[in-house]
Formats: sequence, structure tokens, C-alpha cells
Amino acid sequence: MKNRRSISSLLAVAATYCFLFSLIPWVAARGVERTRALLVHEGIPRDDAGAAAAFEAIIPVLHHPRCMNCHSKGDFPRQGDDSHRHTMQIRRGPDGKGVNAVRCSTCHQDHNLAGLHMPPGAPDWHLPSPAMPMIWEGLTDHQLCELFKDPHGNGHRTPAQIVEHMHTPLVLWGWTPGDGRTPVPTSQHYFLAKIQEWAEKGAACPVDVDAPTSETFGFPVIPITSYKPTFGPE
Amino acid sequence: MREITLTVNGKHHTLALDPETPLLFVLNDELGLCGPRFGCGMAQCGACTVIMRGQVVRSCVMPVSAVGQDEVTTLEGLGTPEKPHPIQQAFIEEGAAQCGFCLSGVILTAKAVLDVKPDASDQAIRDALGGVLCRCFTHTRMLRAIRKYAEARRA
Repeated sequence: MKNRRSISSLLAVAATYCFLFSLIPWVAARGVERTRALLVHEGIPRDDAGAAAAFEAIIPVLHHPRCMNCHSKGDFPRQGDDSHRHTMQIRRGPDGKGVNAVRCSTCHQDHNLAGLHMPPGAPDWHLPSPAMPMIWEGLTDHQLCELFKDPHGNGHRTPAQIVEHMHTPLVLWGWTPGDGRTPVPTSQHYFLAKIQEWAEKGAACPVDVDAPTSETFGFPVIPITSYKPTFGPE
Repeated sequence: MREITLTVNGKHHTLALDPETPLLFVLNDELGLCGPRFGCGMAQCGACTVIMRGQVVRSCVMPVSAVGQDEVTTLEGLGTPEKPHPIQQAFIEEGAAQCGFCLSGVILTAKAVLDVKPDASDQAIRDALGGVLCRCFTHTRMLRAIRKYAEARRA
């Protein structure tokens, strides 16, 4: 009788250990997921409203002629603060660097040339390629944000790589565009901080003002666009 | 000042230059080449055009230090008065120049287009010439000369 009880106890202990051992892979997987999540967001928990607000904060930069002149509709760049079509029939070309004999580098150097109406320049001066034209013109804030995140439309970049891209000389040129061109008015520091915040908080997108409401679906839909940051450009 | 070596029309030149000097000034003043001309000085008219890496560039806005090891070809590098390049010959035959100030831009641009795509359409050539200004309104004759050259090289 005593032996039978001890055998039962042993079996119970063994079953418990088996159960606990079987949990190890599951616990480990959860740990990896959690660690990955922390690494991706660098310790900042996902915050959709915060990310969307951060993206909205950079919209004025993205809509500025310094950015939009190369991200507009059509197969050509624009120029000037009035975003008129680039003179000389300049075209996007097969690689975004112009057509044969009218390449961007025909006139544009890797730096601005001094003087009014002189060609501006920065390293790797070009338009987006026709395969991935990254046209921002006419997009709502939500659509623009989604385009930023779409690997098939953003140059196969992750949000972290988008942040990296925003630090390239061609993008930063918008703040030092040379004589006769209005620089992007938002401070560069603020812009870079906000795009980083957007990525770190999970790269959520703002909801368009005319997007579906609670009435449409019958359950609460909180428009993130109603969230306005309490801070602003310096 | 810095010692800079340039290869222009197949010849090497070593010159003491301010690296920021526009290539055009070096070609005109140091090497005595008058094919590329100073028109606007801001890459708007094309009179200063030269060829580098098979592409046309505006030498008035290109610092000489940016040339590096690339060979520069000016209008003089195509042919000689005794033996003009076929595209120059076509321009002569069609009388496709009035004052001739823009010819570096027109001829070198057309040649660059046709070197890459010998069967380039008239529209492609017109597009490429969009950045080259001719103040004498000889465009019709120029296009005729370019077409003549293109057809001759295809034959």
C-alpha cells in the first residue's frame, strides 16, 4: 500500500516536471518576442496615438516645396517656391536622374552654387525612380504615412531605415537650399526628433479627418487626428 | 592653389589652379579652347557644354576639382577644320549656325544622345536640347542637320 502511494507520488512529480519542461519552449519563444519588441522600439512601448501625432507634426515639412518639388505628380521635377515645372523639359528618366544628355548632374553639383537662381545641389541629387516614384502630392496624411511604411513604395525601407534616410544630405538640403529658396520652416532638430519618435512608438498612421466614424461601424473609432501635440516647432 | 591634372580632348594638362575655378574658365583661359562659351554662367543656356563620362555637363558651374580623372571633350575634340566630325559636317552642309554661340551645347548634346541611342526619336533629341538656348532661331536647320547625321551613322 505504502509502495503504491509512493509510486503514485513519483508519477505525479514526473508528470508535473514533464508539464513544466514542455512549457520551456513556449516561455522561451514569448521571451524572444518580448525582447524583439523591446529592441525594435528601443524600450519604448508601442503608442499608436503618439506615433500618429509625431507623424502629423512632420506633415508641414513633407508638404513644403523643398520636399514636394521632387515628390509631385508627373514625370518631371518642379522648382521654386511656387513649384513650377522645371524649365528645360527636365524629365525623371529611367533611374530618376534625368534622361540621356539631360541628367541631373549636367547642371547640379554636390553643393549649392552661390547666387540667386544658381543651380542648387547636394550629393546624389535625383528624383525617386519611376519604378518607385514616391509621389506624395494629393495624398491625405494617412495615405502619406502608409506610403512611408509600404516597402513596395518606400524603397524597401523599414521605419528605422526611413529615419536613417531622413538624415541623408539630400533630405537635409531642405534646410539649406541656397540663395533664393525658402528653407523648410520647421527646425531640422524638431523634424528629425519627430520622425524618430514616430518610428520608435510603432510607426502608426494618423486617421484621416473624413475617415470612417463610430456611426459608420457601430463601435467606437477614435480619430487620432483629434490629438494635437502641445508642443510645436522651435 | 593646387596642382590639378586634366585630360582634355585626349591631351593631359597639369595646372596650378584654385580647385573651385569653374571648368569653363580653365578651358577658355588656361587651355585656350573657345568651343565652350560663357553664356549665362548659371547652367541655364548650355553654351558651355562639354562631355564627360559620355554625358553632357555645364562647365560653367562645375568646379575644376570635380573633374577628377574623367576625360573632358569639347567641341574642338570632335574634329578639325580640315576633317570635321560627321555631325559637324552635317551642320556645315545644312548651314545650321547663325552666330554659332550655342553650337557646343547643340552639337555635343545631340552627339551624346545619339551615341547612347542611335535611333533616338526626334522628340527625344528635342527633349535633350531643351536646356540649350539658340538666340538666332536656327533650330529647324539644326534638327535637320542632326537628323542627317543620325541617318548617315545608321546607314
